[in-house]
Amino acid sequence: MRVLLAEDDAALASFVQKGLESESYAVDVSSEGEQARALATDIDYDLVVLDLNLPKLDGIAILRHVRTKKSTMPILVLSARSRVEDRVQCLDLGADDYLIKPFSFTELSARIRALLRRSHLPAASVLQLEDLRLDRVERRVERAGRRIELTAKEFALLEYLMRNSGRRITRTMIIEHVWNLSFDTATNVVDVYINYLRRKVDDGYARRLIHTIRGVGYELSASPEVYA
Amino acid sequence: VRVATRSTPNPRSSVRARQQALVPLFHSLNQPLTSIRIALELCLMQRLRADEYREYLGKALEQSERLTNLLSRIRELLDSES
Repeated sequence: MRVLLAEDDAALASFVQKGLESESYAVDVSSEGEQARALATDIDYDLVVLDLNLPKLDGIAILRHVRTKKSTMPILVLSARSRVEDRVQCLDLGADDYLIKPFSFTELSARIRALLRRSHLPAASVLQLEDLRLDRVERRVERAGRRIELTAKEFALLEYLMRNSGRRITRTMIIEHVWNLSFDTATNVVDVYINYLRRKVDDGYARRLIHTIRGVGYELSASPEVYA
Repeated sequence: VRVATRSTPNPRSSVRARQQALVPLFHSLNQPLTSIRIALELCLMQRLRADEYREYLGKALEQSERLTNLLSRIRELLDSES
């Protein structure tokens, strides 16, 4: 899941980024309004966390602009403004949620999960395909009851594949949702990580779940006969 | 932190000026407080690598120094007004 964090306070942004990355989100950080508006408009983020108090262009103007371009992208507003009128204004302009500073990271994380649950992708806490089970909250993956240890990036990749199970996923889609802007798209890192996952998720099991779709990318599916 | 100290003839506008002066002050205090809270939560969640605990506690300490500096400046402003 790829998230844009628009926050001008460098320390606060780095802490929130670290927390979200520890939960396997790919996070892009923008510290000023015009750049945040461009990123939110141009990139297909799964969610935007938007501070209202940004330099060059404030969060209200960004919210107004982005909502005219993207009607369904979840937007969570962060603000120190706690007045009812401020919250109502943001929600009326298209914010999906509003969190008042100072906030707890665990609350931010829970609100993000709740917003993703309501968005177009299934975002239940527990994802399951056949005997493969991924628990987002516990950060636990099991196959046939046996625990599988994954790195944060492997976890994020498997989660993305599971959320889209049964669908053909291109390498570009994987890069856009699992890696952030600092990622060098010229590398074959997607294929490398798919191989890591295969070793951990499929090796030793009769039924393979991760399939290569030649010329397209990958698919997580319980129907290997289709691609045999 | 900028606090307007200009005297105003009207008590109502004086209150308004003081409220306006408090807004940036409130924001300035809010950011390091939120940062400290999240840094400590990250440490308690035990999702950091061993070497990162020191780094994040150090960053939280920096933020507490930022808060201390802000409070010192507020104290100076209050003293100058009294």
